[in-house]
Amino acid sequence: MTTTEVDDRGGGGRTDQGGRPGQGSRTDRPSEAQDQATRRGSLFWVWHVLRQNPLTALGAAMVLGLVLAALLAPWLAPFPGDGGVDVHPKSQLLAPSLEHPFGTDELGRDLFSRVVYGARISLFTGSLVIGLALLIGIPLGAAAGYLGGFVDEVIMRFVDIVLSFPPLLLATALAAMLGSSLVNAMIAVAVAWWPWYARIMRGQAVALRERGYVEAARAGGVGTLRILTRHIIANSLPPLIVQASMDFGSVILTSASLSFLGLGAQPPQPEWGLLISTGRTFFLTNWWYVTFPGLAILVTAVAFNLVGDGLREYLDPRLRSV
Amino acid sequence: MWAYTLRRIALGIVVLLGLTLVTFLIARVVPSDPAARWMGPRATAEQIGAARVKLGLDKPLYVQYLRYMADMARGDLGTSIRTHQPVRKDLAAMLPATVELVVVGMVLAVLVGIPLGVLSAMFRDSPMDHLGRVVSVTSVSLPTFWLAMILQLVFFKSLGILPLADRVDSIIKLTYPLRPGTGFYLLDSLLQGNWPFFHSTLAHLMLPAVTLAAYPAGLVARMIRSSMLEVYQEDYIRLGRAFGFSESLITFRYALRNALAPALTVIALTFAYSLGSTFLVEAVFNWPGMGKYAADAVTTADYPAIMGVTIFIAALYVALNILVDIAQAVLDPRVQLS
Amino acid sequence: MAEPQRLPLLEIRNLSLEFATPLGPVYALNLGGLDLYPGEVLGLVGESGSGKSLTASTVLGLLPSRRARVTSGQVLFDGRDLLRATPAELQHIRGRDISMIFQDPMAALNPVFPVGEPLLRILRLHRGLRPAEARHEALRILDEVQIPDPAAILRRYPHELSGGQRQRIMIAMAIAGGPRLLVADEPTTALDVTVQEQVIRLLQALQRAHGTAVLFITHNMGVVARLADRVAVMYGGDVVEVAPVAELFSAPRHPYSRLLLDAIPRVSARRERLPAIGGEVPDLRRRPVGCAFAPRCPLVTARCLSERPSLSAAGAGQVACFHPLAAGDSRTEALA
Repeated sequence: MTTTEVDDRGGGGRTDQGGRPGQGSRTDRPSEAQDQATRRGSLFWVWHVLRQNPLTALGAAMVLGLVLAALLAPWLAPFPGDGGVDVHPKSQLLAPSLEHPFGTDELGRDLFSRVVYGARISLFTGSLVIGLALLIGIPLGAAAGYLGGFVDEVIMRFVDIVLSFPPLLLATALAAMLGSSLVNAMIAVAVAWWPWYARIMRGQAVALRERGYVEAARAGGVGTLRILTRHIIANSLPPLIVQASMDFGSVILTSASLSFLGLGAQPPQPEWGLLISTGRTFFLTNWWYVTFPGLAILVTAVAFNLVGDGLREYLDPRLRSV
Repeated sequence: MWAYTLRRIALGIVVLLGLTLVTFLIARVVPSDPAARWMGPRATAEQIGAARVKLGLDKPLYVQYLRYMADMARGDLGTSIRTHQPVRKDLAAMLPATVELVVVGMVLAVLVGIPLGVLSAMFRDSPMDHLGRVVSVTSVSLPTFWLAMILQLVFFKSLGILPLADRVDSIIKLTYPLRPGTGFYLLDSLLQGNWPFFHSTLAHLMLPAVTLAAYPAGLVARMIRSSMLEVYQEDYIRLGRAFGFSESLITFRYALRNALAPALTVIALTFAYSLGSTFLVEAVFNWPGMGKYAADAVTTADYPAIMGVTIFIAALYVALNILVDIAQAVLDPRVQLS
Repeated sequence: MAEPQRLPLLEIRNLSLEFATPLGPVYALNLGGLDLYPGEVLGLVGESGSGKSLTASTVLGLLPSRRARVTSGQVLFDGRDLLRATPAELQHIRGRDISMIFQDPMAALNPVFPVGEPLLRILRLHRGLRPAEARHEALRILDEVQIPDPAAILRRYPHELSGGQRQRIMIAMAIAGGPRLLVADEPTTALDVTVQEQVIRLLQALQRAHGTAVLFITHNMGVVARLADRVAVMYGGDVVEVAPVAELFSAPRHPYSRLLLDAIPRVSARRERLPAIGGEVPDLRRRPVGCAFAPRCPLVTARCLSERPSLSAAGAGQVACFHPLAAGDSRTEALA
């Protein structure tokens, strides 16, 4: 296909096609930039999605900020020791001020510092819980969907049983039984959450096991385990990732609820839910105690929900603004 | 369709049976001694021993389980260790408060969520859409217990227009007592013409119901929005426009009908989720409902009560799912109930 | 059949349409001109991506995506520019003066409503009939499109009907408002062959009975040969040839038309290789320069690459080419 570089305004006998803002003497070939763009990979599309969806970009920025805050806590917090065991009996329950932007608690600790340190706990909790839930749910779901039959029935009935309960109540009951600690609370929430991933994974496995490449692998004598990991699970990642990112916010909320009920983090950990629980005793007269930790939970959950939404729209082409 | 319903119910029963077994075993794992709790802290060892026999705790586990299941088939859910009342009676007493709260909350959620979602979808990517999405994302991210307290701070502490907690003002309860009725205070006070009681109940319902409604409202709005956007892509919407039908007809009749069906599942699920939130809401507002009962049961290791509440909630959840499936079939004639 | 002094019912002039994509604009339509006369059947043919469905959608103002933009041109219906009509005016015209038959009737019928619902609504909205009258008329129309037991069918849901029945319902809806122009977007493509036959015959009968002008879009040359009075051939977003149907099939003037006709498989005694058109579909990301078909044309010249040919009279039709084939050239001579 030969092309020549020609001024695009040429064209014998053609009435002017007007209406386009002055684009000078561009050539008729797709520009180098355009050609490169088609070759550009996911990074270009990520940037494009972010540009198109300001809300998603906002969420991404917020998540980034939270991660940074958690990582840089010792330098961000004006009173790093207050995240731990320092007490200042003379500064009890001070209202917010320049020195203590979030006020102080009943032991005189700077609440801003405690909230910043709490970010570490929350992010850690969320990651661990979801990781654990995926670790349990993916193998079970994959086995159920791929192997089918009796295994499928048993696993799915078990999933139904666990899902026949509102997740918060289930986690509460489990945490109550396991004993009150942050780790036990994480386990409890993970146990309440894995069935969702098992279901998604199973659905994917059922759909994918009929695919050509899976049959080819089976015919070629590839072992079941390898098929499961290499083909089925690897190709099921998008919906799982979407669900996981959308769940991050809910997981943080649930963990905070458990701590609020006294079943999760224990004093003196600056976990946000625990802070609210402690602050409840004083909140009518010291409004800042519950307000700021709660805002932190809210902001974190909003951030991850926005990102999760954006991911879902990105991976589901029907919902894009085309 | 009846065959399908029966199958679903049968499946639900199987699930419930499994749940009772699991819960039963778990409740037995709880370390404290139910017999000791039954007798109270001042009981002697002999009394506790006698109580153990009376409660059937000396029998092997599987016998206890079978006895429990047999009782349950008769409608007997055992006797609460804490209250010494039949669990069934306790539940019946506690239920109306929770139901009233949840119903009012869900109605609020749907009344706010659906229009929000529809408008967001209609004016996609407009400033209103963005605002709507921010609002719905925020309401889905609110910690329930925190929202409760913030509302208390604003409306009770600062503005002083709404009460702090409880179901009804205690003075009104004494001076304008309500005769026993359905247990739904709104309904009873209305039927009995007890206006002070009605007003007080309504005022006390406001904050808890709004707290409860926040999450479902946001979820409903998001679901409806994405459901509507999917429906808008369909050819039959184009056809409506091609034949000159008005935009409002296309949105509210053609699109919404199709968009509701998938959103319905989620709405029902949020109803179930709100059973969890109810727990927290009742804790903060000191609401005398199932949540409080369950919390007390857990902290006192009251295993019959725990079992009773568990089975009840699960049964409710399963029934809800079945209802949703049937409603979907009604809304969408394509659904093959197979 | 088209007399030069008759005024066209539909005139499309210099229509340019783009899609805005993250990778730059896609120039989907560059239509120089297209005319449709009252009462005639104009076939619009071309490959996938030639822009024929897009043209149909643009006539009704139903752009398929929010990223589609008309950058210039006019679509004159009865002298009125539809592209500049207000939404209210468009709503008035759609379904009443111009109506559309969609390609896939299963997707185009709302699954949660009985198929009678939109039909009745059209009758009440566009013909002002009262409910009882509308129902009566609906039954009559269903009869006209040869649907048996119309009263029962009115209550059925789309998924309960066969493909042929659904398409007839679509046709019924399209004629219900008494339109002067019917835009049929590949109405037979989604049907199996026996049903296609029935629908074609039905369309023929209806067109003759009502004298409706039809813009019939298809990639099936056989259907065009039977139904159309005139045919317009599209390539790369533009009309390259317009001719009365007999003339187009016997003596196509544009090289593309010739190659298109030659590519139709024929049952014949001699076994030949099926002729294909070399090259690739045009890249619509390029701004249009020169003839769209030039890269694939066996007769391409330097002028073809730099200048864009516009439609000019040739015989009883028009062709946009700098070196149209003369009537009577055999294939081998013309395209050597």
